[in-house]
Amino acid sequence: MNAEEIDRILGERAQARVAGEDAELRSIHSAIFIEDAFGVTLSDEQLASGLLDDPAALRAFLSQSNQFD
Amino acid sequence: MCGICGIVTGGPAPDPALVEAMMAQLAHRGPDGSGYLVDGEAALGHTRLAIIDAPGGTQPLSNEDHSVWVTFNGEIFNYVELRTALRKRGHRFRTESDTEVIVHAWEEWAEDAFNRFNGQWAIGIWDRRAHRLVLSRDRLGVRPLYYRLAARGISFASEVKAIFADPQVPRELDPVGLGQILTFWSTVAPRTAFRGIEQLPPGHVATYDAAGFRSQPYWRITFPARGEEPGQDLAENAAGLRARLIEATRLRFERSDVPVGAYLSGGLDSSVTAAAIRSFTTVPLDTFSLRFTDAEFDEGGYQRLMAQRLGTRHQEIEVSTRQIADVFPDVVWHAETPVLRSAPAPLFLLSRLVRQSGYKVVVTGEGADEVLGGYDIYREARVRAFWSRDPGSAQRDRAAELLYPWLERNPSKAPAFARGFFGMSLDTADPAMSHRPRWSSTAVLRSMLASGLRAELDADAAPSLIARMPPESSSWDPLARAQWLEMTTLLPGYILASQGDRMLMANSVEGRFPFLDPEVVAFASALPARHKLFGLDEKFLLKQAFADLVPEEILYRPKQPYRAPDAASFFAPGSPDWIDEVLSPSAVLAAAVFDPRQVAGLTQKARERSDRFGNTDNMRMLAILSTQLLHRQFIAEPPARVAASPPGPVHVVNTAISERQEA
Repeated sequence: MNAEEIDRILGERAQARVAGEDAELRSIHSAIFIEDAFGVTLSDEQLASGLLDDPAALRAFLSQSNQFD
Repeated sequence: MCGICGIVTGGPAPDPALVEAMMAQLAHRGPDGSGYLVDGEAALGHTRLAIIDAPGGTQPLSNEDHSVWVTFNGEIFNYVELRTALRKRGHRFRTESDTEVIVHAWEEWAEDAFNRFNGQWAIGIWDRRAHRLVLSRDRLGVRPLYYRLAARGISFASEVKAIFADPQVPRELDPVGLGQILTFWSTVAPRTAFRGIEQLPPGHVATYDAAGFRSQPYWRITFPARGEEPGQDLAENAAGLRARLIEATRLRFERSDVPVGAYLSGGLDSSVTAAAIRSFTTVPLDTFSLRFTDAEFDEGGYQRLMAQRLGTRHQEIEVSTRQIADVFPDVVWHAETPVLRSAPAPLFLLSRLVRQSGYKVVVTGEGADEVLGGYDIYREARVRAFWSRDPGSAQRDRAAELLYPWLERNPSKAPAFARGFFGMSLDTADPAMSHRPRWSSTAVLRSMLASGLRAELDADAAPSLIARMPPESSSWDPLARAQWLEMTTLLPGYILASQGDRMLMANSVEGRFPFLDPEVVAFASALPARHKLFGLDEKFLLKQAFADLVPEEILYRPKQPYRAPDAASFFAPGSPDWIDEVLSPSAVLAAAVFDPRQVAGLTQKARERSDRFGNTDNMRMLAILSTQLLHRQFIAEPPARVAASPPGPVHVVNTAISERQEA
């Protein structure tokens, strides 16, 4: 997956609604999408670290992960 | 929409009285008239619900030289375009009906004709030139088509009860079919609930002639390999889906000589189809909704919101548990199969309202969940796959709490149960991983079967189904594999049958389903999985495509599957007598399907607290009630509901007499 494709899918993510007051559940909700769409597996540390709420860090992580595919 | 039937003996002429008896059993499918053809060893019968070309569409109908005859149930929505193409190739038409297109298309293209049809059909063609019967069923199984092969000859019909009109036909429940129902919620074609009675699988064409019976697919459900989907752009895909769905709805709304109404369930799918109608026409639109006296199941607020938004003339029927119990024998009579839910009963009552309101045709939202990723089973599979990637994770098992936020007893209220249930069979190499929890929880019902019958079952119904999955399905996205399973089992076997065709046709109403248009299905199948199920957001692209036509309250409400009160419907004080009758020890022993001790135990439990039954006990009770009714109505006391004769006027064609007169 190239950078353009990663950006496209992350852009689509802005159209989705992730609701709920439980921050951990919101994070899991986002992780389900990220793992399914990009074929990656996130560690518990990454789930808890706020990676999914940081677009730049997430993009960097996905770019790096896909380099190794 | 109609009823069809026929007999090919391979020898003597069929008995016209038997053909009429078969047609009489199909009177509810076609109350506007009937007709039959007798030609040598063959007979075709038809009961008609007149929708297109009322004066010209009488059936059976032939081509120019009467060498090809057809009996047809359904609609070919692109008949106008096909007729133009066939005229250019020299075919001469006598009527304006879609039926006539079929005989000319058969002459012109033979089996290739069916892939050119955009429609919903069950067809019987008698090709006199080859002494060949041809049977065809639409791609996804909207219309039913059953047959029985005898030592010599074949009979076929829209419903099993017409085949049973022949007193020589043995009537027995099929243990393997029951085993499938008590796993998948329905039989898998060609299997049915009755031994010796088969159904033509959706997307198949069959021939019967001197060489015997052959059946083959003319169309298959397929998906691209994951990552090789042709369109990846969200906006382009949304526009493409919208254009195709509006065109599919337009075809289904406008290609009718009688007014067409629309269902409004309060959910997204029927809101989209009704809104699609409003996008191309301002003609008055009648909408119909189902409500429940039990607030847990009622969606009246959303239905009224959509009706007001579209400015429709809206009618609704409020269904009580008592009404469900009252009509349930009729429901089983029409469904011709055990059912594990009471949900078909309210739909039977809704179609009665439609018919009483003067309508013969409704557009509905069926099929959206299958083709665009709307079912909870898809979300469950996503959660389970997420979990399986790191089963030791301290956080992942909380994902089950994201399922069913609408349900009072949702997994977040019972996390230990949810983890046990959704954590079972987490094998990502299993092509049916998505469906294992449902199949396992349903197969528990098999333990209620009488020991003699249990011995005749396959130990596990799943392997034979999984073996049918296309080899290339291993390259599909897991969502696509789950869709294939759903579109092969529940869609034709339950959604389109027990909740669809049968409940509509019981009251002589035709359903039309834009989401099952072949262009829509092909487009949806080729989408990237994330555009269908975006994380856990179901039917994501559909919401994007119709965001301006459907209110936000409906667009983004948590999905609430259509359900009705189950066991509790049958055990309130003053319940109808049939319940005690079919659950009596003598009736249970006579049917020899269930273990009488278990039936007695569950019945006692239901009398005490059916309103607190969980999913498994609800399914158990519905399975027992519906199977006992099926046995009583089709095997123990047949055929109690026979109309005396086919609906008039009866149009009869006897080729032997015609040819003598011409000579």
